[in-house]
Amino acid sequence: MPTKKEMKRQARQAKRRRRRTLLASGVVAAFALAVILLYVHSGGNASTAGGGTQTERFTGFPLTLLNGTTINTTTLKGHPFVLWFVTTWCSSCIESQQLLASEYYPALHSKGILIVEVENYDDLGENGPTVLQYTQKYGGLNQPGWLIGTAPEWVTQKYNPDEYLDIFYLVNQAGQIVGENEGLGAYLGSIIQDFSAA
Amino acid sequence: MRLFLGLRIVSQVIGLRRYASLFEALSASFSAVYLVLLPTLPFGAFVLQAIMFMTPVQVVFALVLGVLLVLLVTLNIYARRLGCAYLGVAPAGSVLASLVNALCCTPIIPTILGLLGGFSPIIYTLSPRLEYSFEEYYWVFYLFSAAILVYALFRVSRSIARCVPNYLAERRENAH
Repeated sequence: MPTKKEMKRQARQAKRRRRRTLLASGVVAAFALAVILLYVHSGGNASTAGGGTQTERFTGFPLTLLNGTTINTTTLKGHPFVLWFVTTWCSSCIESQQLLASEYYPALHSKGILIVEVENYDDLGENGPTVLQYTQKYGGLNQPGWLIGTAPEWVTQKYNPDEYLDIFYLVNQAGQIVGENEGLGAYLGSIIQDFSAA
Repeated sequence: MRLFLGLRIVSQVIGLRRYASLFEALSASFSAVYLVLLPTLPFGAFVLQAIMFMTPVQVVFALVLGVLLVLLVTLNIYARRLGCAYLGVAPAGSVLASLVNALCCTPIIPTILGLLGGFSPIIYTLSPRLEYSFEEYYWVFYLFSAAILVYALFRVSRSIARCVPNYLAERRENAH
């Protein structure tokens, strides 16, 4: 027969166990919710948002390249290209940059797909290396068909209104946006197929 | 003193052949999982090639977290077999803490803040600042994750010591 003291102790332990289970369930539920949100947001497929049915027209913007010259990106019409907005302090951008430079750039270049890499305006207000330092360190500098530079604030506001650190668009030869997603590195392996599918 | 007791219990459990094999097999695989997981987290997707670009901090923590987590699992199994109290929540907490790096670059934060932004536009603009802090201080979360595991290991070993009379009796004898 358990004493009153023992019963109290057992009740306390049961309460503590319940609280722990509740806390663990809460944390797991929050994490699961975040994963679901992420999945829903990314549409669950590769880089073609909306299953590749999106055909918004790319209107272009001025891009100041690392050598100081400014080009108008509307002149790129006739070439398919990946329009990539990066933040130089973000690790997915750094890893994507390295992946692109070491593995995927030759394949994209041989297929005539250009890469237009634009720094999110002012690195989204946080301190990071300059685009030049970033490309010197992680690759992509002076590669033909890989245009890297900065653009005015309205460009980031227009193409990245939610201030994602690493967002990209696929623009086809006709100048239509045929896909978009976040985290370029995760989609590099399927970009050539995505262009063909679109 | 308690720390030494904890270490002694850990070494004695790992000294048992069955638990030693379990520990060796699992710690290698868990460390390997962490080695893949930590560099791939910022993508929010499984990108195997990301391993090539992992930082030294990530390598160290992948090994430390893998070994500590398996040590805790092994001790928990031992404690459970003896009918002692064990900790089920701590490993989950630690794993979650180590996954925080996913918050730096994936759309999780902008999406959540975007939803909250419906109530206040100020919240909406916080997104890059928050992501920057997760990016800059990811190692703090790794450290926190390791600390949870160390604390849980200490708790489990204490629970084993309380549960198995020999440990405490021996300790009392040594004290006299």
